[in-house]
Amino acid sequence: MATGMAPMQDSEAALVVTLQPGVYTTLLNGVGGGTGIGLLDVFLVE
Amino acid sequence: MLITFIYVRRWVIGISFALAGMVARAEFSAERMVLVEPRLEGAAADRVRHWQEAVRSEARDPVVAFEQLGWAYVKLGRESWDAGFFKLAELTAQVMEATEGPIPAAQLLKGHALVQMHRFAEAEELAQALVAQRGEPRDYALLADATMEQGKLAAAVAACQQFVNRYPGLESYARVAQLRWLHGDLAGTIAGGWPNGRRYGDDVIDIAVTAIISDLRTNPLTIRSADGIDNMSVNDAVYNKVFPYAGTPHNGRNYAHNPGAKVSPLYNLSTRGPVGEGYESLISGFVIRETEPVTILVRGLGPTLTSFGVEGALADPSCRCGSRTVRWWPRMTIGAPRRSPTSWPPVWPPCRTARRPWS
Repeated sequence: MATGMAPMQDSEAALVVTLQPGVYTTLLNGVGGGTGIGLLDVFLVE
Repeated sequence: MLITFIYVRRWVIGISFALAGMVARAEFSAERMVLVEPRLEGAAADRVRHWQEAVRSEARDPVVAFEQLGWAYVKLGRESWDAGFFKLAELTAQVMEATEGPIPAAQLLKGHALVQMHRFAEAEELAQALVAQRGEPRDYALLADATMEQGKLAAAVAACQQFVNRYPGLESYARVAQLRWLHGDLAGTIAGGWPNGRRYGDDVIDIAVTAIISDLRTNPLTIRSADGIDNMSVNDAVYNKVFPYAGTPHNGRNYAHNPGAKVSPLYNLSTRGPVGEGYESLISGFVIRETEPVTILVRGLGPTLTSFGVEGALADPSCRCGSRTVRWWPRMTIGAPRRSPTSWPPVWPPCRTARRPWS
């Protein structure tokens, strides 16, 4: 699915899902226990 | 006659009073406590009974139990029109003060009970002390109530502004509406009112006729209309049960009063912060209130932030998305349910841990 919002870096994560109505939680972690400043985005895909 | 005895373990305190006006004092042994429950029905009465039991069984922190019991009394007093419950709330606050000293929780409870009993000057004194001591939203609410009822509108406006600034919600907006009405600003008053959705500037004849032909003894009120009376047929807001019986305004976020409206125009949600392991995960949440499934994109960025001058960016991010069920801990993954009631973070299948799944 082409959204035009792909992460700029290959090491960054993205997930496209189709969800039923409800309450959702998103989590951002570092692979292998990595730490640092992160940005967690959620976009509506038309 | 309603008699309540409240006992606190280390300080033997006897409180008894009669709603008919008879007041008596008694002393009790250290291990005795008698709570005579009011024979009332409804959620407010159940709440009173719940916290009475909590006090009696000592199953909860006594300060919390007494505080909640006091607020339950206030609520029950408002709903039952029985002012004796406000006195019970005041006495409950006195018990808290006797055991813990003049703690803010007791003073706030006592202040609201005093307002309900129209002892406004005493309530204002308490509110001023609370505002000076800590200045939490409900302290300003109490100050606004106490001053407004005494006609000190300038002080009430100032207190209400502080309340709105700290707590922009139904409780603060309702007070704003009442103050605007008192100032004669009918156009600025949020629509609502009694009976049956009338606004403050509406025809008083219609209001009077509706009041006469309606049944005001029921809860909720049974509102009837007549020819020539242009009342609304259904209330879509909860109405206060004290003067001026204003409808609680809509907060702009809850669309429940208009289920036909298009809701949840979520387009983007973005959260930035430090990311760690386990409890230190960066967590965000959202609600999908559509009627059909919605496709979303979840991104976890780190290295990109470096190009925007962010130092210490997460080098290799991984993101997950899950659905929360009824309670906080039981969680369910997307597609494959798996409950993890005692663990955090929840155990989710690796297939939902996305890294470069698309281009």
